Amino acid sequence: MQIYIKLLANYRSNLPDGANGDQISIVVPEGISSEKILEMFSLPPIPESVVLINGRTIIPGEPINEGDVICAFSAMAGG
Amino acid sequence: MFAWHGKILRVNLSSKTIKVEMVDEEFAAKYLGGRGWAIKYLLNEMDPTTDPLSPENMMIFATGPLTATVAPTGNRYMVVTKSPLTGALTDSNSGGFFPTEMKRTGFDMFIFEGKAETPVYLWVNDDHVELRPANHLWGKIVPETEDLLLSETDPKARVACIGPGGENQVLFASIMNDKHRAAGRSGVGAVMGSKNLKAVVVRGSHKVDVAHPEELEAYCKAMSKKVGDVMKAGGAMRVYGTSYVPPITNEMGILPTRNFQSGRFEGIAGITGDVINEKYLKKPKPCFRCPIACGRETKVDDPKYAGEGEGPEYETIAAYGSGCGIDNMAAIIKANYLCNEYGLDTISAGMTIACAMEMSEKGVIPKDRIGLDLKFGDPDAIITLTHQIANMSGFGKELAQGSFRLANSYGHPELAVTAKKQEFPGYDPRGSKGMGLLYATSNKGASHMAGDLAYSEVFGVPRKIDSLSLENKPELVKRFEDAFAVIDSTGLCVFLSVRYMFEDKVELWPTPLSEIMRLSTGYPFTQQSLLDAGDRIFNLERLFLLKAGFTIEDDTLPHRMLYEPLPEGPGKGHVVELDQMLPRFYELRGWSQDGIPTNDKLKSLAIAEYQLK
Repeated sequence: MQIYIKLLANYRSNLPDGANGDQISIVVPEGISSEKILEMFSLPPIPESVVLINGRTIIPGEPINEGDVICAFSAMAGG
Repeated sequence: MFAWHGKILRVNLSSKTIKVEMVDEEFAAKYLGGRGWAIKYLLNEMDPTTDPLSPENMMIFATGPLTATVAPTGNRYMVVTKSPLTGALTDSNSGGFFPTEMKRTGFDMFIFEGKAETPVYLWVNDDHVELRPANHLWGKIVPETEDLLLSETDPKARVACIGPGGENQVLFASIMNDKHRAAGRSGVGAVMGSKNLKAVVVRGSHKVDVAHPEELEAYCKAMSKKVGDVMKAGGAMRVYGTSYVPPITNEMGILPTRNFQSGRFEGIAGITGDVINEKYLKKPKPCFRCPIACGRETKVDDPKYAGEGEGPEYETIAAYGSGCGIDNMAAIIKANYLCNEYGLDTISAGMTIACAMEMSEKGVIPKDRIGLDLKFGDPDAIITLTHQIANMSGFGKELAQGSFRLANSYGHPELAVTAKKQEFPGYDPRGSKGMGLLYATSNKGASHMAGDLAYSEVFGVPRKIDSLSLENKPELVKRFEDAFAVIDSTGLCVFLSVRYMFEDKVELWPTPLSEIMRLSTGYPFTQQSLLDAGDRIFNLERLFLLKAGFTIEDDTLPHRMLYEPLPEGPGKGHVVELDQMLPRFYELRGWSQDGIPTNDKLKSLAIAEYQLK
């Protein structure tokens, strides 16, 4: 199935060539977890990493569906 | 005493008298410092119904016990006074280097009373304290004022001052320090202007003694290293400052757009941190003892918006950028520079212009009244109107009253996005429900600095929670409000503290902070005693508001948040269900359902003497 990966701010540099700004579409097998998807992009293993699905907080184990936007960024504090 | 000096400087500007007062350790520990000490003095000495711009309003500059220590981000001071914008209490907080220098004069706090007959500034050089004439500085912008003051005092001194915004008593004028840092919110600069106090200049040589210097240094060094390691591994804040935030809030659909008519901005690509880094950033600039370095030194070459200074931060981008429908970063940065030079709060200034843009587009304000065809997305308009606000010229006179008064004066209160008459910061609460409860219950009106639940709802600190859910939000808002009262009062910056001074769990248990407070002060603080102090401070502030005439009718949100659903994004269709959160919040606070602290609650916090009669 096709989904979209959006990596914001400094995580944007982890996107491969061919990305459209901060986003890229990829094809993944059904049933894949968000953790597995993000592993593909070698994000730093820090607790400051935050993941959203379609702009909402992801629930651990939440299934990924066709067309979903998985978004990740690193955050320390607000503005 | 350790960490606190226990010394307060009291300056009566009317009589030109200067006194030194002492406090004991019991007082110091019970109210912590900063906000806590200040509210105690205001409640004891001032009538809360006082006109904020009258000589009877007191204005307090307060540091905390950790200011000027080795504690990471121990660089804050706050201005506590009655706000002319809200009519409530405010504590407007700033970092940089002025607060550290102020603490090194040997005083924890400066209290200002009365009003000088003609403009003056205060010069504190350790024990030498002097009020000096400031007629020659009146009318000058902030950088010029600071340069002149350093040349006539000490080049190594530090300055907090107002610009024309404060002199002209713009209701959201700020007090600037170190030229570019702001005690920005709620019009503290207007209060300073009303007192004819142009500036406070400090130079100090008093070391801040701590109880256990070696252990404290080792503990703080380890914490700073941990933060530094995160920064190197992939932390966004050193790369972007807070300008990493716009794409995140846009993705969540809570980025204020066109006066909160939407939470997603089609011009997002123009207002990201990447744009700043690629075109305008000179270098990051840290405050005293900060391992994050979120400050940005920037320069704009485009002749139309040329300038040099610091910023913008996220809040400025949200207010002057998406809030006004503007994706021209050079114009946003220029507006930021102007606010810093004139001494204006970028949030209220930008959001008030955004409100006027909507009123203009809807035909509520005639074009000839504004003097231009004001529309969202006009970058030149934000520059023109910022000049007008600071100088109280043309339509700027009306904008200088803030959006609540502006919208009401034209019979359209529903177009003002304010709580307790203060403009919202950059998180639309229809998509972050806890922020809605926070804005409604904050003692200083809409403010993220009152207990920023976006830390959890947006940034995952201590852990990410569902921003659209109401579950557990009253509990979290209370805990965040108390925790922020503690952080502010100790003299730390919230940016580092919320994630690293508390344990990594949702209850915000201040284990590292209590250790640092024990090592600094020698006082046997516990996690619970610190949170109790935060609760105490919050309740004292609430009592000030109640005595000033506020009621539960003021614990509310504007029409747009309660009745106009978000039109797009993950929160599409959502409003803030405030009525489902407030009763539980009052219960958790130990207040009656009329929002009044019960006698039992005040007794439990050892402040029974402040019971309402």
